[in-house]
Amino acid sequence: MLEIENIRIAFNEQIIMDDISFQMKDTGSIVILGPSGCGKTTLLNIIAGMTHPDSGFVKLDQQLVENPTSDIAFILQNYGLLPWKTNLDNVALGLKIKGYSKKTSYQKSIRLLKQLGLEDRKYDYPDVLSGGEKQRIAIARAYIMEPKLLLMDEPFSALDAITREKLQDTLLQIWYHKQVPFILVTHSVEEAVFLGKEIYILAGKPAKLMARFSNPGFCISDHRHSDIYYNLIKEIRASMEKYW
Amino acid sequence: MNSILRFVRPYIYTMIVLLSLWKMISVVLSPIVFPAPESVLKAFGFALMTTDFWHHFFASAYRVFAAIFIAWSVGFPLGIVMGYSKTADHMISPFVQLTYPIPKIVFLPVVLLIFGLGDTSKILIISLILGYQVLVTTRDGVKGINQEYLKSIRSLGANPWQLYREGLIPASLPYGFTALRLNTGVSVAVLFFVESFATNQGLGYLIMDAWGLMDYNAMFTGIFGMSLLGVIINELVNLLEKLICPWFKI
Repeated sequence: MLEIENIRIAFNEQIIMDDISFQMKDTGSIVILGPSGCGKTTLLNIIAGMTHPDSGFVKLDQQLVENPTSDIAFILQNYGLLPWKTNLDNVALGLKIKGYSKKTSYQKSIRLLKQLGLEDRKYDYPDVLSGGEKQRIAIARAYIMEPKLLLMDEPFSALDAITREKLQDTLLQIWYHKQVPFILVTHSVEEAVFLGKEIYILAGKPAKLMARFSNPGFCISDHRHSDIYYNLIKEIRASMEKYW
Repeated sequence: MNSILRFVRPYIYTMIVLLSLWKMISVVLSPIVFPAPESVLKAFGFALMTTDFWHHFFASAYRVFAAIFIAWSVGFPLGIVMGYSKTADHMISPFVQLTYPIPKIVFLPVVLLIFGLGDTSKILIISLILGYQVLVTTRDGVKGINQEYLKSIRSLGANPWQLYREGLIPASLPYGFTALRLNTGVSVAVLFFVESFATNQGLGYLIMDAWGLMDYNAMFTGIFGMSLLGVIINELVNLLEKLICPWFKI
């Protein structure tokens, strides 16, 4: 269970985010939509324990999150893959940091790369991969940690439409099998409605959670072509126009 | 075989151009002052088969490689720490800013007074000059590392030492190698200077001794030897960089 309570953050005495509170169950998925510069990434950094709020707290399973922890995996906007490590080493990095032996880390990483269809790229460096492949490596690196929570900062924004949809499907499949809750921030309403069990709108100055939507169509088959999907997109767009 | 040819070919082309120019100059000037390339090459080929030449060559090689090792061992880690830690940078930077513009070679008499006329003082003065270059280039390189890489490592729960080991050190290596590559010429030039007195071994001594005796073939043999040493250092740095940073493409 993730609890976020009364988060407030200020830069140069100017409050940029205030009164952010929400909870997420162990199998949830929340997508946060917001205009550029509203503080979406800052909020993820706070949840990850990388930025400290001026007030409020983040608790994961009743433990305060004050520093980065291997319980929370973070997929960054540019994938966060290290160019000096092979794809295998990138995936195994989290386990290495956690103290696993090289042999065990590699065995687990290879198994996961095989599941994601990337075993033959294990000794390549990230710079030779396509955007979609890089993203799958980043997903592998996050899931191999067996985190309690996954955070994603616009993970599919640099991908073409088809690759993006394929990876959204992959993400939901992994979520379905592993049941790791995730919070994702994005600019795309379509992405939010496809991936979010709940969709929050972060907007205003200081930024607040202006609206919350539940998604009755989450994870239903052929969701992208359902009326629920289109209607929710319409509803969220109307809300965004109000708050942007 | 092909890779050896690919490696040697640019050197052969360059040698042909340089030797042609040299030949033209030696024709214009007196061959006594500026000996023809064929006579120098002959002398150099002969020198390569003598233990005396290699004795001087290895004396110089030892000094310059020891200096590179010391410069790297001190300048590279210090550059990383200064580039990453603002506190360390604030503490050490004023010292570096103040002493960096001073030509370190002027400290040679002081170093000689403290460490004597042996190899130690020669090695120290080269490593002092080279160390500053490695430090400054590495520090500036670390400051330019994409913060997302470090954020990505920190997000995995890495402690400070793991952040250095997995992120800062490997990301900084290319800057350290660039500093070495850019300063190969400087280190060999300083080597020549420190070997031009108070020693009877080394390529610098060989050149100065032959110059004093007006034995220009032997002098050019020494110059060839120093060039060879410079090329070897440069290629070793390139090779090491390829082995240690295979992901880095210039």
